[in-house]
Amino acid sequence: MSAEIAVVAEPEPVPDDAPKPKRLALIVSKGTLDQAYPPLVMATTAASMGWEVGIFFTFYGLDVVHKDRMPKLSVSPVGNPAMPPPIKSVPVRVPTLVGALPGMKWAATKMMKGWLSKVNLASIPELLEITRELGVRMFACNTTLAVMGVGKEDLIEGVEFAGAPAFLDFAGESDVQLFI
Amino acid sequence: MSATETVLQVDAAGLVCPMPTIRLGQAIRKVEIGDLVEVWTDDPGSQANMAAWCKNTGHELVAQSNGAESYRYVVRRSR
Repeated sequence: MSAEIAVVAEPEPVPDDAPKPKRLALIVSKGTLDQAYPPLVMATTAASMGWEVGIFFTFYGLDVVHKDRMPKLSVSPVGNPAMPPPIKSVPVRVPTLVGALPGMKWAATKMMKGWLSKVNLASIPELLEITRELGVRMFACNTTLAVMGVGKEDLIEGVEFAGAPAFLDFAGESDVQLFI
Repeated sequence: MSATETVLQVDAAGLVCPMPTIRLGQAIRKVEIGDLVEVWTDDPGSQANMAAWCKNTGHELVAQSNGAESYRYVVRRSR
């Protein structure tokens, strides 16, 4: 065994009076509209509170940072027993078979976007812009880029490319970790 | 201008969590240490959120007043 050990970069000197910021590590594995909001809301809020934030995008979660797909994230009425009746006065939920018909995903997405705009919640592109402004680190999983056939050039600006070890290195020093 | 006057007002009316605290964070970075930022919001969740945000960032919540459906917070940039 070699006696020489590679020296990893020295940690940044931290002034004595500066408390170490808290750190949030998120894994985003889903590419639907409703699953994109929680991590982006948590990430922007934590960063705004001075926390260090890193998000690891993997599998369908890559769509959340995909230039073309990110503005068009949708909701599926299929396999979602919580989907409410489409017409308020008629308490009939959409049967799964009907939910599978063409146009139903569009309708479900339109319904959710209606709820979102009613409370004036920021859009996914707006939240991503805020993450950039606040210095949230975005990691795209190298392996799943290949699995999903997504090119590095397909992703929005500022995304870093990393594998599991690199993200775990970040997450291992974190205070809060969430898998979404 | 005195350092204790409100130097920036943030109108977060109509915005829901997390936007009022995000807007506050953006405003805090634009003022000097010691200056005040005043936030107006109608988000009822803001009462817990503003306190938590200040606790985490170290900025000081110096005043708070509630109307029927509106809330006003004054935060001093502390660092």
